[in-house]
Amino acid sequence: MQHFEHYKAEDFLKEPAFIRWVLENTPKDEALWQQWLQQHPHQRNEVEEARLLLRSIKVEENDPCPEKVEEAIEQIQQMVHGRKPAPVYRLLYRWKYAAILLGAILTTGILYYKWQSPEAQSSMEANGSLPQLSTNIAEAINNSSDQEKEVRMEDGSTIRLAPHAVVRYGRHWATAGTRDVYLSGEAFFDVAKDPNKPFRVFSHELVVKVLGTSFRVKAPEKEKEFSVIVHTGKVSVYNRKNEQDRAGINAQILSGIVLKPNQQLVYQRKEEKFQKVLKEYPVLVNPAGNANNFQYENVPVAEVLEEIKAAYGIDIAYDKETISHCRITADLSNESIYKKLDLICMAMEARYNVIDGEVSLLAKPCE
Amino acid sequence: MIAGKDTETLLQLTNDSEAAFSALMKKYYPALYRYGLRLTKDEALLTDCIQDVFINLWQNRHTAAAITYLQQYLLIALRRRILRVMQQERKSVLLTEEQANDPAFVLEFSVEDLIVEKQLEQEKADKLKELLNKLPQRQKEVIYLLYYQQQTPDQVAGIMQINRQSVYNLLSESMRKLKAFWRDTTPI
Repeated sequence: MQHFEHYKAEDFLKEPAFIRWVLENTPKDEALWQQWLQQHPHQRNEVEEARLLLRSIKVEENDPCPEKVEEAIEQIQQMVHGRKPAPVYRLLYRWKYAAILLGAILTTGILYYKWQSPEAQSSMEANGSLPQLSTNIAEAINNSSDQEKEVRMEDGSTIRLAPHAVVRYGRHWATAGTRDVYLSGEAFFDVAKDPNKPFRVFSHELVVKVLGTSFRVKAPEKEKEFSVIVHTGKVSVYNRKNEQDRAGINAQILSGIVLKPNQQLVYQRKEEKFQKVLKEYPVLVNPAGNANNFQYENVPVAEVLEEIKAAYGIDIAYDKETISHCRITADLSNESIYKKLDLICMAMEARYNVIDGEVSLLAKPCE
Repeated sequence: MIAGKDTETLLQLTNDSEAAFSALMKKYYPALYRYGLRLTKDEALLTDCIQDVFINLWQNRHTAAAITYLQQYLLIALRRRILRVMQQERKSVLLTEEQANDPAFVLEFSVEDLIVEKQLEQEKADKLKELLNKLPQRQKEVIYLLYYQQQTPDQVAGIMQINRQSVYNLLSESMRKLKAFWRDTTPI
């Protein structure tokens, strides 16, 4: 406590030991501080002022009731360790979704029926329960082989169907407002760019919308999880059961959950939950854009981070001002993105976390 | 409520220890809940978000040993998740980017102790409360994270995605207003 001698009130307000004394007021701290104040009477005013200020911002805390906490923790344990089936799961936090869910189950049934009989479709559109389809489904390609099958579309897009995948699409994309395909199973899409005509993949309850990009959809009917993995460009993903999402599906712009390159979206069907993760091994999506080949000599760290962001198409959050004086000399050319970040962090004593498919860098200012 | 080091527990978590996972949930659930309630009043939404944060921690457990400050890590994750959900829910309402990034931060201040100790009359206490409630949201969040989640200024900066100097500035700004209040009220 010796350095407290020259503290002003505002310094005390940032001092953990002082904060603990005032807010928790344990007998031990009390004795310690009273003794210190006797030895340093000239500091009494500063301490008193700080104490008064801190006490006047006392906050009323609402603790959760312990039973609720226990229950919540138990539920999480069950979900992650999977001992019992997860209890009733709230979809997007609202009761009204129960009703929508019921509707969605019905529509899924009807949709299945409709696939069997394309004529039935127009009546479906009329009742408005489904997003408007651009054309009647006319073509169906079923990859019954055990090899990948490539399908070329009239707009120049290609679809590589995994074994046992089925894709259906309308015949008249040229006159329609959108390019719609229906997928069951797994496929890789390389979509020709057409900003005026969104390309939409309907796959069970999942809808993926893009303007021109490449991505993979894994949606085998019997699986518990679907995933969408973006290779280049941006894609939007929607849950067709979600009312708000349904409006987005028909809009011209990308909304919903937007995925960027190297991000993967996992959709847990039963829980109806989306989770964004970073692809396990992110690849360079823009190799040409990197002039320095990741070799740096005394370069501002922010510049390096920006290059990595652009090269991998990944978001890296950091505070520009904090690291404005940090510079780095390093050869990161042969490293994976994680190794690159590790090395940068090591050089500037920073850390990074990957949260929701985004990198977040926590750094200290450099001298 | 002091955070302390979780190095050992995190190491166990890396090795798939379910007991370590439970221990961490018990330790941090209440703190996350209290913080989350400042950002949203929707308890069901909050509970779901906390659930997601912990599930995410379990899913990423193999890299958990790299987490230096778990409480900060969890607070960051929770803040982001709540904001994202709220943004999605508000999508129909047009928000500026600033509004979307600067969430409502609600604090109820308590001046009761000061009244009981006769350091403050009721009338002045009302004035103090009014002053506190008028503090900008970001100042309230800094105060709350520093004093009631016992995060260091650096950690607060990480959570709010601002730099440390901004944390100090926001804090001094609030303190300046409080000082002025006390100067006008009673000689200290």
